[in-house]
Amino acid sequence: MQEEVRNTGQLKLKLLHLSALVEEITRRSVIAFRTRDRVAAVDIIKADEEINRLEIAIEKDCIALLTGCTLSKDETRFIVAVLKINNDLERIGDLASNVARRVLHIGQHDMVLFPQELLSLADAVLDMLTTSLDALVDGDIGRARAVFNRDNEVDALNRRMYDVVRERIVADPSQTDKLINFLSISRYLERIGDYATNLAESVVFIAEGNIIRHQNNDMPGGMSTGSNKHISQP
Amino acid sequence: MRKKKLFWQLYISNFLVILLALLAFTLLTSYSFKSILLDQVSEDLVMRAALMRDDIMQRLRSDDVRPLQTYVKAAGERAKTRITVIAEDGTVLADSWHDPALMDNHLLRPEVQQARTGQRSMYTRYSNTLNMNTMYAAVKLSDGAGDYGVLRTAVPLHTVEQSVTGLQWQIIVGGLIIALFAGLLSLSISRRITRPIEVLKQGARRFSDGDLDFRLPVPKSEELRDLAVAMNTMAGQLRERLLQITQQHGVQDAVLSSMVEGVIAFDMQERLINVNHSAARLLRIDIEKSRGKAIQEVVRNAGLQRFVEETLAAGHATEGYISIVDEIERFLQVHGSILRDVQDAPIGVVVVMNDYTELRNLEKVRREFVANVSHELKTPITSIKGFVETLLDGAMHDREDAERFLGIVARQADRLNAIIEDLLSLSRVEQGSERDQHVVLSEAPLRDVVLSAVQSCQMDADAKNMRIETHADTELSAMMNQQLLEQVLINLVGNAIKYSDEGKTITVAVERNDAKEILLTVRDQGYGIEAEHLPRLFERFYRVDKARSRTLGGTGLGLSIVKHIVQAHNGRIDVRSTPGEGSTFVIILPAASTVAVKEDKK
Repeated sequence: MQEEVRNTGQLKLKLLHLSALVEEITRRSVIAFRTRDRVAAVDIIKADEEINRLEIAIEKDCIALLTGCTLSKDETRFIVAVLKINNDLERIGDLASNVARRVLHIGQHDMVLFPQELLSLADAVLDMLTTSLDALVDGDIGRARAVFNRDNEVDALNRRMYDVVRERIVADPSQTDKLINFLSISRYLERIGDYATNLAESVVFIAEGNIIRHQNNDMPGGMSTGSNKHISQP
Repeated sequence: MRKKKLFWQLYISNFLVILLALLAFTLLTSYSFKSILLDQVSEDLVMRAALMRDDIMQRLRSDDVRPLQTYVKAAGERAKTRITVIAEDGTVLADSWHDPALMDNHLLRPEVQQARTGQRSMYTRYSNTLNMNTMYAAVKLSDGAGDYGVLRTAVPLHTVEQSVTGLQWQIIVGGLIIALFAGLLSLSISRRITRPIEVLKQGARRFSDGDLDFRLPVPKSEELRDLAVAMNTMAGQLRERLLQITQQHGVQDAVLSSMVEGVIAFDMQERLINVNHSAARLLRIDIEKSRGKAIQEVVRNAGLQRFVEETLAAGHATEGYISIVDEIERFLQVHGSILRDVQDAPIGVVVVMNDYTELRNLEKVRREFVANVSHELKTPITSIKGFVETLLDGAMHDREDAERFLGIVARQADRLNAIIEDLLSLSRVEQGSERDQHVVLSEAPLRDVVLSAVQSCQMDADAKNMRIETHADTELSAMMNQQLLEQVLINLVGNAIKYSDEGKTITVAVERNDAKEILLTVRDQGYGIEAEHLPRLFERFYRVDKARSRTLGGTGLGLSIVKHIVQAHNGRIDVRSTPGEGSTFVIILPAASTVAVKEDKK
């Protein structure tokens, strides 16, 4: 996957390779924090470099394709979407390695139990990521739209985490440091969920040419994206 | 080129041949008919001239030409022939159709010229006098005395031509009627030739559609019969080959799909060729939908994608390790080989995947066990050694210190003893079940065991102000080793006490489920255990919380012993837990034999 691509088909395959890397690293970061596996966490932090390299390669490919040859309207739109998806995937990779870094801190504090909200949040976010990548593979708009709905659920869980952590700190202030780590993980995961939603939006953009960001209430079918609250677009 | 049906080719060529033959025949007949007719006419003319010759000679001898003219006219009308008498100098003396006085000199007429030499002459030419094609015959009029001129007879040819044309028309009409019948005949002949071919064609189409059980009807003509027989034989052989191939394919499929190892093949462009069930399950591939798609679309696993790419680039067999991450991470050993066609050219790559996750986990457990057991033994030993050395260094002379230190040494020795005791009993139970030397089991009521175990724990429970409730049916009994089962219950209840806050309640229950199995349940309202720990909970030295476990005097072997004892009872143990709400351990013992059933009937 290191050679340059010559057309959008090859570009897509390269992007799918990156998406496989990112999904794996994200799943592994969740497993690492659930099992408090510090060895795995270190591996994940290292693996992020490969994602960054691939992201840069794909960006170069996109620019080469955009400037190098005559493209149809659909192809141009696809490449623009790839640029965005590429960026989103790289950010997800970063967040996954952030989660892994937190694991290095929680490793020592065995007896502090994970709140159920955090575990549910992790499951929901992984599911969103997988679904949006499945949608990307097949250009499946139906699946992409299914991701939008999950975002609210993830936001709610993340908010509940604040409450849970606050209560626990009040109950036992000596655990404050450890609990703050949970809060960080929760926030990282919630942002991975946001990027997964962005991915799903890009899938719809490729298929329909609609930019559905910032259209919370006039989505087709009355669905709201609810994303981009934490991600500011330049 | 447009495709022509054999039928039309046959029919049209047949018909053309018939038409050509008819045409040639018509031309030939009309030509010979005409020449016969003309011969006859000329013969006729000559004979007429010969007949009239003497009469005319007689009349010529007199000088008066009028009787000659009268004769000629009368004879000409009777014989429907033009009769002309021409003098030696070319002057027309008499003519049956014209006034001789008006006629020009005939000396230069070719038939006259020739006749003058004494020969009979015969000419067909255009007559200026009559304005039509005319046939002439001329004879010289002479006797011994001298020459008198030339007698010429003539008939216009249009009558001949008319009868020839009439005949031609008859022949053409007849020919057309014959052609019509011949055409119909040739149509049916062509049909008869092509129909069996058509039947063969339809049969061949059924073969090609896969209906190899069909047999062609055998036509009468020899060539076609041979063809049909050959095709029938071919279909039979084809059917057998196909059957063989299908069977071979079936065997291969069965081998592939029953393999534990995952097998997946890609072509040179890294598109999926085939995948067996194991690999499809491991990689979550929908076989039918995925064939022919690129690896990146089918398998979202960067490791395998890279491995396939590397194997294809290397061009020879390679080995590697990849992992698949779902809810858990699975570890696979992968072997890649290049697929080659008969010409030995590479056509793709086949990857065989071996899931060694279990093996890896076992190895990890073993490594951890060795590390743990050393650590667990070292801790008390270090402590004993330290205090004994301190005592030897002089602390033993201070009675108060000496007593305190020896107390610690005794406690650590107890702890060491406890660990070794646990290890020994664990290994006893384990070896017993491994060598099939089962622990001696006997039928006993469960209530006694439960009460005895609860009694042993009552003191610890009282210390934490906890209540132990028991629900045990007096009639229930099971095959058991009473001492070991009691140890199990003491262990579980002891854990429940250790890992709960003060004042909570522990419930121990004995009941029977629908399958007549006996359920021994220990339920607490303690801290609970996170789901991640549950699968490893029964491993030796596995601790959910290392620090707390040790403070509470655990050896890390308790649950491991519990599991092995339960297994020695042919039972199994199950645990459910919600962090913050408590845990439930359930021991499931097999339904007691006939004895229990008899009791049931009482």
